[in-house]
Formats: sequence, structure tokens, C-alpha cells
Amino acid sequence: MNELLETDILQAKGYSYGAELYVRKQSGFLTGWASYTYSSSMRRTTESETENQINGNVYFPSNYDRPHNLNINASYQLTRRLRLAATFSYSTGRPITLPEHIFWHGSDVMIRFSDRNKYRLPDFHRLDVTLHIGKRLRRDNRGGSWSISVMNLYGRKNPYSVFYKRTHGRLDPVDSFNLYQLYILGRPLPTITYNFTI
Amino acid sequence: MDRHNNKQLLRLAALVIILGLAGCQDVYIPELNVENNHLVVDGLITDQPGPHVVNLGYTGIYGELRHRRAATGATVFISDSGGREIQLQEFYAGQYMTPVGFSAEVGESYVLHIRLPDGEEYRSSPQEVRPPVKLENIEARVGSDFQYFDSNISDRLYQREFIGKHVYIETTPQKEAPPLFRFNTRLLLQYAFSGNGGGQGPPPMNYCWEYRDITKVVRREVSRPESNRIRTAFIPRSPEEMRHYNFPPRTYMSPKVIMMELYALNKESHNYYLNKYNQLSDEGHIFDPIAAQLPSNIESVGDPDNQAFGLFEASAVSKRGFRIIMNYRENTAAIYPWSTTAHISTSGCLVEERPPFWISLPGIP
Repeated sequence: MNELLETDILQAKGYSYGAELYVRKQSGFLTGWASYTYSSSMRRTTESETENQINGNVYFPSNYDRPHNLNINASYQLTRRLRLAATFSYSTGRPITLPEHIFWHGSDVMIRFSDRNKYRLPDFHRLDVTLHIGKRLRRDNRGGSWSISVMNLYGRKNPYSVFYKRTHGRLDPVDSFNLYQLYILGRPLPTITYNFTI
Repeated sequence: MDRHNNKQLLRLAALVIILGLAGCQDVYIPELNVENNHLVVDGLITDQPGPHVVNLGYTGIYGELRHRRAATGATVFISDSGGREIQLQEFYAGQYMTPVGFSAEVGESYVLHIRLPDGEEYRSSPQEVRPPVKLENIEARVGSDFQYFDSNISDRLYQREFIGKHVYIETTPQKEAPPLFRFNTRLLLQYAFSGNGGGQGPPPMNYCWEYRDITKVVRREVSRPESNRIRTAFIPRSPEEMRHYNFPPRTYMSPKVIMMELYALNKESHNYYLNKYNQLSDEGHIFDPIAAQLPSNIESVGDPDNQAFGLFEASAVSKRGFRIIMNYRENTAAIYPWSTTAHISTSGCLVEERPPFWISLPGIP
């Protein structure tokens, strides 16, 4: 826990801009929509003291700068009861700061980090598919429908965060730190749903 | 569905969620776009008689470096504000030494100059030697401390709590702000045992000592700019537990002596050490300082984009020794100034002869 959090907060200025594109098809066997957004979000500090400057007061991407964002949602009616739907999402990876160099100072191994947000996490993309099986036609309107889905069809591990961790007590100082990535859904996740009305 | 089934369903759902989220952490190997290696300076001159040493080396690329890389064959000298130049000689690969007896003067400013064999030139910003730090008060209090240890049965570290005494110091505030300093703390422990006399006469007595750096025990080696009080040491209550603090497994006698070296820092050096502490203590928790960068005071003479890392430090040093006797029942401590003119090696033993820094107490030979 940082005991002096308020002393680590710097004032910064920034700007953001972007454009959105959206198309939709509502009729026919194939329906769906697609949206694409291009945006940019930049920051820069305005401090006069060098020690309080980030990247020498030059503009750098903010943590929310993800220029490309694409979402496609499509649905195809195979038969009267069968409908296949798919959702594909893509966005540019979030900016991150990574260790670039290491060096010794005294007996300690130190890290030289890159400029702030110089690198990016790998791009995010994921495909979810669903097969809907509709109700049988019955006069009493009983029965239900099924949905069989697979989230993250190709099992991509989309990291949402990378963090650095130094481990105390290791004898070899070079082995005492590592980078770790966190992700939520790293494998295909099948689900099956039965919908019915009582 | 009855209550029993509901509970089972909830347990199953919790298990699925835990399994889904567990294992969501992998070692991440980044693809770096890194330029050539950079010069690293680790140099210190003090107001004590030298020789003093400046280490020169190169950075390694994250994930690849295994050993230090020395910068050899450089021309290195130090200049002061009066134009005097002090030449340094390379006595070992990448290690450059001032002349014997050289000492920095308080109030004077020094600049380190480096010329590498390829012609690249670097120099430090002027480093002013600040006045030595004066100790106003020292006290010890009972407390506990945690240490991490390698486990024999698994790859994970385990944490252990020790009862002992925390040693705090207070420095004299200067005109406007508390003095800026870093410190080293060494602990001196002694023990004695009877040797094998070979059957003739009483067995000879062995007088031994261990003298080790315990600065890392408190995991902070730099003062705070807003306070003139800082914890400098932790000494476990049980002498046997000193083995967990890198002392050999012995039964040590009660006298405990700490020797402190306080290095007065200017603002630039203090900022470096503060960031070094922040980086070393960063464990990736939320609210931890992010990406603490070490601000170097070395720059390239001809090419501002050619970065150099590390620190050239010029400090006044004050050395103080204290003997600490703790009363754990009443949480009081008797602290006596202690000094010796004798050189104390890291460890040693004398047979039938007490070393000059030996402390004799009632019941202890």
C-alpha cells in the first residue's frame, strides 16, 4: 500500500477525439450489425520540475487509448427452428509501461522502465457463437427452446492487465521479479440453455 | 427444489466460477523494442579518507541479463568547483578508484567525468556534499517483523513473524526541513565457547563475533523528506533467531551492538534512493507506486538522447555505534553509545584472547 498516495498524483492535460461508424441489416436470412470506432486519448504533464514530468512533458497515450474498436454481430436463419448467431469483438490493446533494461546498483537489481505507456497489450479479439433451436410447433404452445453457445470459440487469452511482481527472499536477484498477465476467459466456454414458459 | 439442493447448486456454481477464474495468471514475456545498452554508474565519494570507488557497467535487456557487464578502459576523473581534478585508476574490471586518502569536503560540489574507449563522454551534474546528519535521539521499542523464507517442501515462500526490537532514530531538523539521508546498519554479535584442550589443563576459551549488514531487514534505507524520525533496524528477541537474518546458526550472547552510517544526501541523490526504495518495495498491489523510474544524475555530453543510468553520490558520513539492552517485560530499552577504533571484520575468533571490541557482562566471560 502506498502510504503517500497523494504525493504520487500529478496534474495532467489531455485531449480525446474519435469517429464512429455503424451499419445494420434487419431483413432477410442474414441479419446483424457492425460498428467501428476510431479514437485517440492522449495525456501530458505540465510540470516544470524534471522529477515530476512524465515522458518529459510530451504527449503519451492514456490508459484508455484504444484506437480501433470493431464489433460485428451476425445472425443467420438456417431453417425455421435453427438460427446461428455469432459475435466478434476486436480492439487495440491497452497501453502499458514495460521494463526494458535491468542493472545493478550496489547489490540490488534495478529496472529501467520504458517511457510511460510506450507499449501495448496484445490486441483483444474474441468470437462467440450460438446455435438457437426454436420450439416445435404445438397447438398448446408448450415446450421450450435451446441455445447452445461457445464463448471465446478459439480460446484466446486476452490479457486485460500486466503487472510486475518482485518476490522477496530469492537468492538470485535476477530471478526475483517477473511480469504476469491476467485474463478472465482463457479457453472456450461452452454453455447450454433451455428456455421454457410455465 | 429443497434448501439442501439449493446449497449444493450454489456450491457447484461457486466452484465453476473459481475454476473459471483460477489459472488466469501467466508469466508474460514482452516483445521489447530496445536500443543499445546504456552506461550505468554506481559511484560514491565521502568526506572520509579514501580510496573511494566508482563502478561502471552496462545495462542488460530485461529477461536476458544474467551477469554484470563491466565498462572497462574508461578515463575517469572527478572535478571540484575550484577546478581541481582527481584522476581515478581502474584497479579491477569496471572499478575505478580515487587516490588513497582522498576525501570530499562538506559544502564543495563535485562532478564525475567519464570518457569511454569509443569516445563517448558522460558527466554527472554537480553533487554538493551536504553537512553530516546529527542524531538527536535514538530509541528501541518492542514490536514484530515479518520475513520471507524459501520453503524446503515447495516452491513458494513462507512468511514468519518475529518478536524483537525496532530501533528508531531522530535527526536534528535543519533550518527548513528534515535532513535527507540514507543509512547502513550493521549488527555486531558475540559468542564464546570452550575449545578442546587436549586433556592438559583447562580447555582454551574461544572469543568469536559476527558483524553483518542488516539494512535490508527493514527494507528501507532512505529517510522520508517530511519526517526526521525513521526506523533503522530490527533485532529479533531470541539470539538463536538471528540465523533467519543471515547470521550463522549460533547461540549468541546478549550484548547487541548496532553501528549506523548515515549518509547526508542532496535532493537529487535522495530522490534517486527514494525511487529505488519505491521500486524495490513494489509488489504489484493496487495503489503501489507504478513504474518507479530511477532518475539518473549522469548525462551524455554530446548526445542528450544517449541516456546513462545510475548515480554518482557525494556524501558526508556520520558513524555512530550503540549498545542496546532491552527489557521486554516493561518495554524499555537502555541504549549506550558505543565505539571502537578497532577494525571489525565480518566474522572471526580469537583463542584465549578477547578482541578489542569485546563486551564483558556479568555472567559472560
